[in-house]
Amino acid sequence: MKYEKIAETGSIGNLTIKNRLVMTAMGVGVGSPNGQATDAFIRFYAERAKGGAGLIITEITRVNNLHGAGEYDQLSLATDDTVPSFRKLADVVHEYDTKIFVQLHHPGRESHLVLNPDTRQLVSSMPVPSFVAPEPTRALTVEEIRGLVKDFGEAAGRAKEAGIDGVEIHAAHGYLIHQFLSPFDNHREDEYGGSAENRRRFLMEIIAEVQRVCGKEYPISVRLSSSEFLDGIYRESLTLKETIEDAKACEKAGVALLNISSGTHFTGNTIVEPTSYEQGWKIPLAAEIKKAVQIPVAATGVIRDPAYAEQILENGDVDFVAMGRSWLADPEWGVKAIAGRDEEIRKCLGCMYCFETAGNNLCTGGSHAFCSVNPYMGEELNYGEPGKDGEGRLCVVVGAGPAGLEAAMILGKRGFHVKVFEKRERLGGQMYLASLPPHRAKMGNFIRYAVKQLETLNVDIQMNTEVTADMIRELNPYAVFLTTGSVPVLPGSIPGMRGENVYVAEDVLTEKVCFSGKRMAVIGGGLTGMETAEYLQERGNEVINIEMADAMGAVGFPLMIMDATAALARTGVRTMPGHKLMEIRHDSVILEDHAGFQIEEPCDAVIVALGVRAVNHLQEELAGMERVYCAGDAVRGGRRVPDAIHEAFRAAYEL
Amino acid sequence: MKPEKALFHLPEDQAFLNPISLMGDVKGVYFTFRSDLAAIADIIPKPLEAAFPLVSGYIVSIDKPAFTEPYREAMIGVYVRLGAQTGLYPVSFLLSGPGAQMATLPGREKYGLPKKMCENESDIRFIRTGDVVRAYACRHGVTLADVSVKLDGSYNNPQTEACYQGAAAGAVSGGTSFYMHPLMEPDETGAPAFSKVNIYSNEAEYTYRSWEAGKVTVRLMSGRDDAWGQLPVLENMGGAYCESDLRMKELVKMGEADPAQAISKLLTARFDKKGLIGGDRL
Repeated sequence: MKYEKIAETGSIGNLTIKNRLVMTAMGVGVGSPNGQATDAFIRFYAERAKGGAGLIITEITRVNNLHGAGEYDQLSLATDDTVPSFRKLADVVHEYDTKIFVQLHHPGRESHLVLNPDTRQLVSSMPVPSFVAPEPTRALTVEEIRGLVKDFGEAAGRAKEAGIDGVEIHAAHGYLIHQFLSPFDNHREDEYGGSAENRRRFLMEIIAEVQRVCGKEYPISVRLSSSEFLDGIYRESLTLKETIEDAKACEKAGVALLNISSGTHFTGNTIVEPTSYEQGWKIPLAAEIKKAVQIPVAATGVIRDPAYAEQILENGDVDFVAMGRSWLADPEWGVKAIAGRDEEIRKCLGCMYCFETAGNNLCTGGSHAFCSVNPYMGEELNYGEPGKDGEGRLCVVVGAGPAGLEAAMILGKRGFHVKVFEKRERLGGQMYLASLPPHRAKMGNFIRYAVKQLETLNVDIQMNTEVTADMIRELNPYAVFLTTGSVPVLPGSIPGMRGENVYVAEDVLTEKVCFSGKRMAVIGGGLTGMETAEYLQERGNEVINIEMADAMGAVGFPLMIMDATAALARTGVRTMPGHKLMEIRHDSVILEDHAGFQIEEPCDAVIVALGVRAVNHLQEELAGMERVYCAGDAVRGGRRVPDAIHEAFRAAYEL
Repeated sequence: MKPEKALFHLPEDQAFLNPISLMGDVKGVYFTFRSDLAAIADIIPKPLEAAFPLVSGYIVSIDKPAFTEPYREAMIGVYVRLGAQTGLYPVSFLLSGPGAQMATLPGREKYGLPKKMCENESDIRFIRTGDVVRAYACRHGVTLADVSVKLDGSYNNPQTEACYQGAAAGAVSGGTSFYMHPLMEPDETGAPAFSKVNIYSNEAEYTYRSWEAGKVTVRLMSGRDDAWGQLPVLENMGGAYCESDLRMKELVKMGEADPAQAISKLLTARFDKKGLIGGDRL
């Protein structure tokens, strides 16, 4: 067996876990406003149990209905009426010999009043609103704290009654219990604030109450943030040193599992990491905690590869490998890893689309989180494995970017005879380019996965081949998928745009041209521009990144933008928002600001990253032909990876 | 009338350094931009802590200071907190013009302000033409700040209002600043050492004659001696053209910073590189 450690059984309290893989809690919005575990929700988890998760920890589950809601469609065990649905969930998960814990949670100030309409203020350890989404917040009274302790206990009792194997107390990520643990947040002057022991008191009382209600043998996991990563910025914050003491206190109190993550809402990128974070970056912190305790430790940390998971188990850094988004991208991560089928795993890109889409519906419901690379995610009830009904009929896919690759995979699985034409010498389109800037290699995960799949499906890929409408007609295909992508926009109206000193991001990222020790102007402060600027700065150039809008990264998911702008600051790129490109000269660019003043910035070369425009002349040329589909950037330039993959998936699935 | 002449000795009842800290007839450009919190945290000495990822500054002329001749001043500062208090921590001041020296020396010696002087009066300047203003701060031939404002009555980002609360023609408003005052004396070997860093808070009172809000575009660059470009401009937030009188109230000592931790973040805004390491001319 390739990965023996992953496949080994493990123990959490009195439970035997079939392997060392834990699916951690993620709010995916497949529940319902009344807190029931819906059929869609049960199916979502069943797929992950079937796919090899040894232990599943559900998403945040409400324990208090007055001010304890954190999502519109979240699970709830605040009342008895949801227990039957949890029993059904437990039964289905148990069919696969997978264990399931419910994560008990109170958001504290990290919520919204609209989700808690019966209260006028959110609650916390202190009367200090969230830094991220500030809303009126008051400090809990001692009496209320004691009431919440009982709420956690009662919710745990309901979980046990429903046949759930254990509970996880969410004491991490800046939510309510963390708001007590953290010396950054908690400056109370009563028995719940001040010393570390006092700040820990709320958590300890919850553990004791769960044990009182459920019995000491009922397994409790506690999720902790190893560090808030605020120690470089603030004098007082939760650091590894104190979390080790929290972990020891949990062990002493009889906790069965420590589930180690990191971060608080203020440092949100250390909770759910963007693409730039390396695999396992925070595992060393969990390993330090493990050294201090005897009970099992699970830990997350951008774990994508089975080989890496095996390694940290082998090293003894952790007892269980905890993953979140990896299970969204591929529900069969576990069975594929244990079977040594690494290349068949559809790996998470770290693109944060799941987080973004979950956030979009956080307060309103109506839709769930989506995964960029896994269109089935959250739609398990609607999309099963595609039927084998292609009957060898020919489908032509033009362009092998993410849309073309996805279409080809689905068509191949359905038994169509698929021919892919790619005019370039490489696969992946814009996605390939997105994988080239510093620390963005994970963006290429999907391409590597698709290549392996297409090889297995015997899909015919013709590289360096630009097809014409006549060639397609001659093939007389059953269906045609136009996924021809896009090309960079180079506004010809700007003088100098066609000059010899002007390049596009692709030229730089593919090393068609190389610069070092030069003064470079990157035009465009979107993700492509910012990442290209970072790339050039890291290669010893002096880079200015010019953006017409008032803000760098004015469009995009804020956490991804924050990651990119932080990299610009770290590497020393000079950012110039609010400047419009007027002219490119042989040794400078002329820019105009808001007030109409023009300035000249010297530069040796100019990189233009002003977006892309669709390439799709074939659609018009094939007008009249039946079953011609278009997806991705070919529909409209500048769309995103999930637009391309999901659109292509639906067209190929429903053909 | 007999011309007044200076004396190296003063009557004892006149020997103090406490002029009226009134900067009368201040005119010029105010601006705010969003920067990177880690970059801001990197330049703040403990126990001050970054409060917001915002940077504010100004480029003004002070035409009627109570304590010296007219001068010009440019400043950038970041928002910090000290315990429960939040205020502006000025990172760097540059001054030029006839009164610059006597605005720099008491500013440094009394308040500990990180002030440096420019060679030429025109190194700090602003030009207003109709509803647009362009302002510059240069030192040693390097443009460190280039700010333009389109005075259209609104900020680039409406959230900027929070930074300039109370600023309006005819209004009087206050603001808190924190200063770090490093004090030097010889150590036991006779080498100069920073033995103490005082932390002060200071309230300022602005009496506004005008406040014209506008959209700003900010460029900051670094020279060999002045690191203004270390704070990246990630979003132009807003600013104004303003005419006001500014009175600084008395200092309140808030405590002391550990010189060993703080001093590395206090020197370059007060001394040029040659004044610190000296050896690069050898």
